[in-house]
Amino acid sequence: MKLDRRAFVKLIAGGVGGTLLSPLPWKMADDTAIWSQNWFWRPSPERGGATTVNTVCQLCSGGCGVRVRLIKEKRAVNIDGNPTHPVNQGGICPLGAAGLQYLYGPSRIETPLQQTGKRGDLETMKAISWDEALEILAIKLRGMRPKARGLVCVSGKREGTVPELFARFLHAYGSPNYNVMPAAADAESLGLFVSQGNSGALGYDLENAKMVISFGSSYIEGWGSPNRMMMAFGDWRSNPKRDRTKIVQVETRGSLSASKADEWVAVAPGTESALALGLAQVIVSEGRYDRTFVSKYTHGFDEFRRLLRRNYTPDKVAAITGVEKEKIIGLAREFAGTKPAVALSGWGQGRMPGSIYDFLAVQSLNALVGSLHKPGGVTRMPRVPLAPWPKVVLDAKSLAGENEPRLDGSNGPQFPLPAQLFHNLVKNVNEGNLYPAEMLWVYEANPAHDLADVQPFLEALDKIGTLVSFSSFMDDTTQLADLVLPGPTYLERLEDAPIPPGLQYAVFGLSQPILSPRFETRHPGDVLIQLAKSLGGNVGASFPWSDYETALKERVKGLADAGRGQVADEPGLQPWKGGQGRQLAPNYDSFDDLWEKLIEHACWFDTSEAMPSWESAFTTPSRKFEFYSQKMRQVGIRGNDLTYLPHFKPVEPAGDPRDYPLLLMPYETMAITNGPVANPPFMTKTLFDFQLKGNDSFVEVNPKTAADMGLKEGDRVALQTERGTLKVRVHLTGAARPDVVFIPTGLGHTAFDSYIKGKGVNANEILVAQQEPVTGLAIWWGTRVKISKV
Amino acid sequence: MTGENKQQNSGLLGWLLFVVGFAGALFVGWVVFPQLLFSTQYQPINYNHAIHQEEAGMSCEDCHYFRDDGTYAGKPQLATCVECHEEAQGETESEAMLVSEYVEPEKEIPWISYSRQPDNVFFSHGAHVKMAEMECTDCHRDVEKETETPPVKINRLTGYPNEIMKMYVCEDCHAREHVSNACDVCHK
Amino acid sequence: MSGNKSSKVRYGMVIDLDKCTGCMACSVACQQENSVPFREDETNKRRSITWMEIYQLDNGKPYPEHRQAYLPRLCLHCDSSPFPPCTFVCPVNATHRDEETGLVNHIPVRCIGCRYCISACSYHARYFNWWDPKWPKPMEEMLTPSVSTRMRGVVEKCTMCVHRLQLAKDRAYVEGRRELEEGEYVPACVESCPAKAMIFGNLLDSHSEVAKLAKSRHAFRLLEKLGTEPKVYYLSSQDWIRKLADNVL
Repeated sequence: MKLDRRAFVKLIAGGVGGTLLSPLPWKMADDTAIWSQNWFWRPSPERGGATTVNTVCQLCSGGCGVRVRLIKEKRAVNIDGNPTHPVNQGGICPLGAAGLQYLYGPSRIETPLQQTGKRGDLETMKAISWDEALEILAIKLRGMRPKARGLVCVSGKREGTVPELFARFLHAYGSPNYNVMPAAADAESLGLFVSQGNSGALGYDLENAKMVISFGSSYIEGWGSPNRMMMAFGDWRSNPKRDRTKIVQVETRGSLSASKADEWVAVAPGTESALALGLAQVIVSEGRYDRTFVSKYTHGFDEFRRLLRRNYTPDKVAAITGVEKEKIIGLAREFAGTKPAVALSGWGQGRMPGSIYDFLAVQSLNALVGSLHKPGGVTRMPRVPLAPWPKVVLDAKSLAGENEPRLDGSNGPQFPLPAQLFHNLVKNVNEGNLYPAEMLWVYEANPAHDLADVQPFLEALDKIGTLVSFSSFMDDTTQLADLVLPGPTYLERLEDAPIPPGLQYAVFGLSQPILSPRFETRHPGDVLIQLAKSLGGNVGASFPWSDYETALKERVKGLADAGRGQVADEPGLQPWKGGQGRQLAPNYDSFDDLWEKLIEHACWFDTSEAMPSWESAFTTPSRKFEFYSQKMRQVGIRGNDLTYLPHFKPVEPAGDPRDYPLLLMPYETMAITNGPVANPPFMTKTLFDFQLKGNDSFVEVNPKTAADMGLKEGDRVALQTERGTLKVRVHLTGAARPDVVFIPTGLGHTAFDSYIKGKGVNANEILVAQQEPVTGLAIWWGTRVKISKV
Repeated sequence: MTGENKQQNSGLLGWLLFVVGFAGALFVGWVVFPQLLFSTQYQPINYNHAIHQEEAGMSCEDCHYFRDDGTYAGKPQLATCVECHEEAQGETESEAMLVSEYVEPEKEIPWISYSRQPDNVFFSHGAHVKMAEMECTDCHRDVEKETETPPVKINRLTGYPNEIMKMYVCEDCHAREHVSNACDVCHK
Repeated sequence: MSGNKSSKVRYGMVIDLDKCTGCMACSVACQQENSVPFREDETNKRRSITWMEIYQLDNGKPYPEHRQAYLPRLCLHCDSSPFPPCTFVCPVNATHRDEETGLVNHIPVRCIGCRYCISACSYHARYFNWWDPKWPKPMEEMLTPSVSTRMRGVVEKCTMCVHRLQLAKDRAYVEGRRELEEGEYVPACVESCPAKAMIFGNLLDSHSEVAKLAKSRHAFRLLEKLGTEPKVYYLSSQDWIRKLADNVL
């Protein structure tokens, strides 16, 4: 017997037949198809029950309520707006919506770090324990106590209990050098102080205004609380035509705020306040002002009227601003004739201090039409009745500190007003004035990138002894630090969110940890308390709390004690309706109940503080609104009559027009955050390819100007100012005025992750900050520039 | 032998081989292949459905319930077990394991699912149980009398358990019941 | 409206460009909601995946008559009969219009990546995965289980957050309801909009806000002359924007 070919074929045929009648081929085919769709190499997110936690966003001062969705209570997968929060009503801005990319960001700092080598060298940054880190700092601080004034702190967050703890620490320790990052709020606070008597912030009743003139404020691009402003804008546009709020944007650049306004008044660069004074002149000379208010509640109206007649007639203002005379007159009549109407001040998103006179010019317009402390006008921001902490315990060294001059020169002979002048501090350090800065603390700020005119700051760092960062991220400043005490992100920690800028009613937001901290971070509040305790003495005694939560609760008790306001727990709350001064029945019955509800809903609000009456609103020497400021004279500012009156005297941009024929102006957009954190990947993706292309960012040039210079779209150019040179590409747009070029701020980071590091240029590197002579505030709206093709 | 015989013999052998090949292939296809295709995995601990219902008087919904947001909590979390088993109640080996290995270290029990769909499938228990009023046993095995959790057969090629419902089963039923078969009804 | 006449539901959207502030929140909310992948360099817009893309429009006039506006463009979920252009050409039935809701879906696992639908779409609303999606390790934590991630070689696009519809129905079923109420199902972009410029709902329900707004005299659709019957409407009081929408984008 022999297996021949035929038999073999039969065996195979039998095998094939049997196989075909078995499930094998069909099952294999099916399973292979399924296998091919498995895509096992890409992530398959873990499933599980979803829960939602309410908290407050702290990525800017906007104070918006957000909801975070968690899977299995451990994985945060979504952030959106909280509909019960009155400020944003469920809306959210792109930065807030990308918040989880910070929580899970690759540039998070995981442990305390100590620089063991050269500053800026990430290789020599050594991870240390918290005990070691606090010990290092405590030893330094003990040694520095005789020179306590040399401790400087700069906070990016201006209000709230944590910044207050920093200020408190410096006070107890004996340093007068608690500073905040420069902002429009600086000029606002000083302006209120000299014209109304009390510093603080303004609350605009915009939701009830019928006409809004914005003097350079990017009202839908980040000014004030961005979501509140966009929501108000949507409401203005919802109103039926006859009832519509008219919006006028006074700005040099054809921004979105300008394009979306009912009228865009394109003024010559830096002349917004001249236009305000021009409008004031028409309103005064035509007798269209609020006679009751002006005659009974103002001081110095005659001097103001004379100044207007002399310097700000429509002809003269037309020459300064480039706006037609007829338009000035028409606008003035409309503003005076529309009730209520309000003028906004604060350039851009509000990061530039601006001139106090620009502020006064705009606010005197509000005063003239009787819009101060009236519905639909502008009032002062209400107070949140937080309980005070016990007084700081002072010893001889802290008392000595109180009498030391501030390193930023404010409250001193040169700048008598109580300003925040971080730029001037940098200048004094660089010039070796007053005394040396031994140590710099940086909290919620990224001055090495965000400070306009950043070069002097970087130079000053060489003269500053120790740089301590409390940042959660390896940002531009933190990578230069000597000691890093990383805080948890806002999604992992308890902290209060104060009233956002520009709001007319009271809110108190509470951020809370939505999950336990991902890394070995420590709350800056707790760090300060522990540090104070380890220093002991009066500093320790000034921090009597066991932890930050106890300290915060002590203040929040004030809300319960005041028995005011409600926890925002239903959608559609509109605290701006029905006027301020409405009592709300509290929906909590004790402090514990209030705290529990705050943890659940994250927001308390109140409308019971009425706008002050004209009789009581002003605490100036005359008890009136002062067009002519006696306060300024009182604090020791010397000058002629003009010094005490709102007037237009621009600080000239740096650079000789013959060498630098064009003007470079920075601009801000919602798609690029302006710190202290850098753009998250989600937001960077939304940038147009004429804002960022590869690693190149763009300068906006008017097509005609470009044609004259032989420049085409996308050409590479060098922008040269007195401070330095940046290489960018050209984007042609009719939004740019022919003699001005515009560059966005917020790009060009030297730190963070590969998604943002090195993308675009940092405009702050070539902007030159000027100083307003009277206040010392930094002015940097423009710098003269030369463009050359490269 | 004659050539004819030779031919006959070889023909017979040929057919024999055909039968051998046929039967062998059937055996491989029906018996060996499924053994090879599926791996057998055992649950981390034995769960006795019967005893929980009969002695503890629990109902199905105590562990398998709808969440408030309408989604279905298939397998219970450890927290549900801890409600009763903070400490061992009986003397079974599985309970001792539950307490020592999961309850005390607060570790979730890594149950293996018998019917886990891929991540691009959206299955609504609400639609089937509440709206179509289907019984659990229409799709899942009856566990009422079950004292031993059966092992899970996992397809080595696809990674899915053998009990998983296939798309054609869904489609057939949807078509029969005049329910939409649009892709986005079940896929995400 | 065309498309399937038997259904009572045609989900659609109205975007009020007068209210849109161009803040990009909708685009970011969409990326987060749908696990849209991102890369280190996203500036090549032909390779970048953006279900909700924002266009910058301008009136083409010189300074200071120059005006700009932003226009959010998602998948318009065309209602043309019998098929939208994209599903008509799909050789493998990976994309299809759900005639009960009017939503045009796309199932990536079924897609063979031929990109025929991308060429068929008149609005550049479809995107091709040129690379496998990659998230930095910690960011994998924030991927939602409500949508599945995609891979290189397949097409993806806006689904109008159909997973939200699935979840909304789930909740309704458990509460014993078969029909959804207005506002129960809203895509992430609409929910995020701080200016409340986006309205979503059933275009066939004459009482819904979206149906009323779609009939406004300021309403228009993109490239209406093509007959694709988009279910996304825009509102603008500006003539130049309305004119632009019917010419080129």
